[in-house]
Amino acid sequence: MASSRENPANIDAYTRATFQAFVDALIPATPDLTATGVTFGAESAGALELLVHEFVIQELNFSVSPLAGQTLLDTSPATGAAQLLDAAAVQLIQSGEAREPLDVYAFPGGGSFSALSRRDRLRAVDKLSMLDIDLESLPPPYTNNSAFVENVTVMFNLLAMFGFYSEWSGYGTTRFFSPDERKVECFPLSWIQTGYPGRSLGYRALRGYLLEFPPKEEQKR
Amino acid sequence: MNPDVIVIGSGGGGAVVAKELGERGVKVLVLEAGPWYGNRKWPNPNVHRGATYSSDFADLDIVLYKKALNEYEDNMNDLIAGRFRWGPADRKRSPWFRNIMQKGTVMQVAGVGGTTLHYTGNSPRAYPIAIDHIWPITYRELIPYYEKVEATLPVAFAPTTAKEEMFYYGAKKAGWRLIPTLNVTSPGYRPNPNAILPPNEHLMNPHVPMEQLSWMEGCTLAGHCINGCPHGPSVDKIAKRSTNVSYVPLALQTGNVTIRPNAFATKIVTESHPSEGVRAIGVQIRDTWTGEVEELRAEVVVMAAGTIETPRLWLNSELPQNPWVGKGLTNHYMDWISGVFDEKDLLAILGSPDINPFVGQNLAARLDYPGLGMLTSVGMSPGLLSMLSYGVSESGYEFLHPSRGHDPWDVQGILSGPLLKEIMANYRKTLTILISIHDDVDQRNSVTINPTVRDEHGPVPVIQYSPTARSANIRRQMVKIAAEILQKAGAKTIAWSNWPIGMMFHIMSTMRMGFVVDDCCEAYQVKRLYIADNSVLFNALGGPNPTLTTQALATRTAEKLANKYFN
Ligand SMILES: Cc1cc2nc3c(=O)[nH]c(=O)nc-3n(C[C@H](O)[C@H](O)[C@H](O)COP(=O)(O)OP(=O)(O)OC[C@H]3O[C@@H](n4cnc5c(N)ncnc54)[C@H](O)[C@@H]3O)c2cc1C
Repeated sequence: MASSRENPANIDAYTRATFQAFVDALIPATPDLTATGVTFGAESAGALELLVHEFVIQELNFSVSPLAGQTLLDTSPATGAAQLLDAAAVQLIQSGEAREPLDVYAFPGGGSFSALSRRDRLRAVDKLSMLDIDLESLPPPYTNNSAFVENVTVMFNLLAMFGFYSEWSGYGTTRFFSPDERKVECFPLSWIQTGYPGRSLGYRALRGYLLEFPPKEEQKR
Repeated sequence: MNPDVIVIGSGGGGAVVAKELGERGVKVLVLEAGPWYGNRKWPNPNVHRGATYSSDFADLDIVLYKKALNEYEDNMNDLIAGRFRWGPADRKRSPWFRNIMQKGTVMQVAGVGGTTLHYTGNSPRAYPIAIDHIWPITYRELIPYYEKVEATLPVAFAPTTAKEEMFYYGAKKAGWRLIPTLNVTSPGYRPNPNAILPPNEHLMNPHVPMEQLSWMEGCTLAGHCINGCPHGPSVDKIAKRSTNVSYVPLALQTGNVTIRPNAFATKIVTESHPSEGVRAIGVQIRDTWTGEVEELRAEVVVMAAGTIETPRLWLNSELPQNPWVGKGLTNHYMDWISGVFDEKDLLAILGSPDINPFVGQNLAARLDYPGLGMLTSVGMSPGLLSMLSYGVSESGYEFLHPSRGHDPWDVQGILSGPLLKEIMANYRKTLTILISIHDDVDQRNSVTINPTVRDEHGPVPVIQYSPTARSANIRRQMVKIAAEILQKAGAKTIAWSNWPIGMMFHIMSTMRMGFVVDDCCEAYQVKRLYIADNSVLFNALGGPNPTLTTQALATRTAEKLANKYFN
């Protein structure tokens, strides 16, 4: 089977734990959301349950063209990004901005970032995206490179949301196959949560036309 | 084959030039960096190299097309590995790298059809006040070309579904009037003029099965415009009129046009001619599958590689220096705002409990405001809608940077945790508005190259954008107008995205007419070199979606070029 994409078994524990911690903070499981009147039934799953961290890691590792001079480093792009999150976490802790106690057992194998509470994890990401951070102390390729820091931080949020709310989780056991060999095996839980009915051939939803083309005014000309 | 003209790029502009020249009997070779979907010479375009050329209309294959455009958003729209990405046909390889200097994302597609593969087909004309006395040509001069493109694509006013009805309802309550026109001189709302075939007359007839309708002519309101529209009886009759299903089939029918996908132009070849001076004589290309490099010759070369790659190609070819090459980038400094409605209000207005943003043409109702810009209603599949609405912002996470209370929205920025889950649980009751403003041309906003950051095609583009104070002010005004429409329509929660400055969907004006090219779009400094993409636009058109204007200009450029060199 030809596959250039990572097999989940090959993701190291550190990178996995760090991105588990990130996606869990952004899109957590919400068992108690029914209390606010939104009915999820059993479908309270968050990004962790849908393995969205694997999507984020896979995409980060795939996104950087190796010729662009960045992968001269000996870590993968996703591991480099995990180290970036840790560097932000360390600065958050050292500056006394972490609000809640650390839990080093939350995501085994992870570093400082994954020991933070959910909200503190997002506080650490926010420091990066606001560049409220000592750029010099960041790991390469992010050292003193504010554009890289900002752009990878944008990608974290975009990828996690797109991975969660698109069909990606439906690829199930084929999720790490090359794109053309994947099969949608099940209806994503996130689609049940949103009420999206999935792909469609069409809808009998026509309510009419507000204007004819070309408009009357134009026809007179 | 010895072409008269080589066109680089088969997207919004390139395909138009090819068809127009082909119809005039000029032999054209189109070079396209990306794959070709729906052509039997490339049965597995993302897996095998396939053939080199196609010039035969009969090669177009609707079954292959429907198989490729399978409506799954990760498969189609994923910026990194999707079919519609800026990268080589081979999806086992990474996308092509770009050095983006500010927060945001640059969306362009490599493939026959270019970025129109996933565009939403909005085809408004520019605002006359953004052209007259500003551009080197007048609005009146553009009108016959607009009309020709509108008839060729063709363009029609979008049909109304629930989300448009909500938008019109809100716009009317906010005091705006309907403007039944194509030439917009005063503010008001109207349906989007869309390059999408009107719904089939049997769409509402329950006796005609949907499967059958999806093989008939006309939009089925399936809501997959941005995911790639596969609906229609044949490739040339697909409902959404990306250039690969409109101008490309017409170009092939002329018998004079050959298209070569997987061919990345890396250099414009020039010579010094005694009477013409520096002039283009050919193009160097690299095959994206084999890496083989070739040089091709022609009488005239047309660059239509888009607003980023056209200046990159100029710079990498070391063509004569010009202080405006790559300079003056505009992108409509866009923003985005969403409203979530209560069931009882929707029942009262629509007679149904949901808006269902996944139904109907994605961007189908608009408000135009000459002088400021435009708004358009948006609905699409949940992966794209969630990330664009709640996943990207200049303001950071909502819980850390909440709205100030007196703003016309309730939440702002990136949503997370239970709030995100809850708002997405109301996806079906959500109406979104895209804000697209008339941003200033500023020479500091640019596409440049850094010789040390290269890929297999040479130094990669460095993209720099920052709005002027005036542009930022206009965006604030337009966001307020959008918020008011949602509020008047009865939205219970309004969420302002506050997009970062680098959200680039409409990318324009880096090789401006009057600065880099003359008013026929031929380069001042290189004879026989033309440009026919968004980069020649003189400014941001006042805010309207750019493609129709680029296509009108490309039609005109083909005419001027043929008259000058092939008469
Ligand atoms: C999500 C989205 C929705 C949009 N919706 C709309 C809309 O509704 N209405 C509208 O007007 N606009 C819309 N746009 C913008 C629209 O797509 C562009 O205006 C239009 O495609 C620009 O045409 P172009 O010819 O300048 O570039 P493109 O369409 O990008 O075409 C450039 C082509 O050149 C090829 N190319 C680039 N470099 C090379 C090279 N060196 N060698 C060979 N080939 C090369 C590319 O692969 C590509 O096919 C949308 C854009 C996005 C991202």
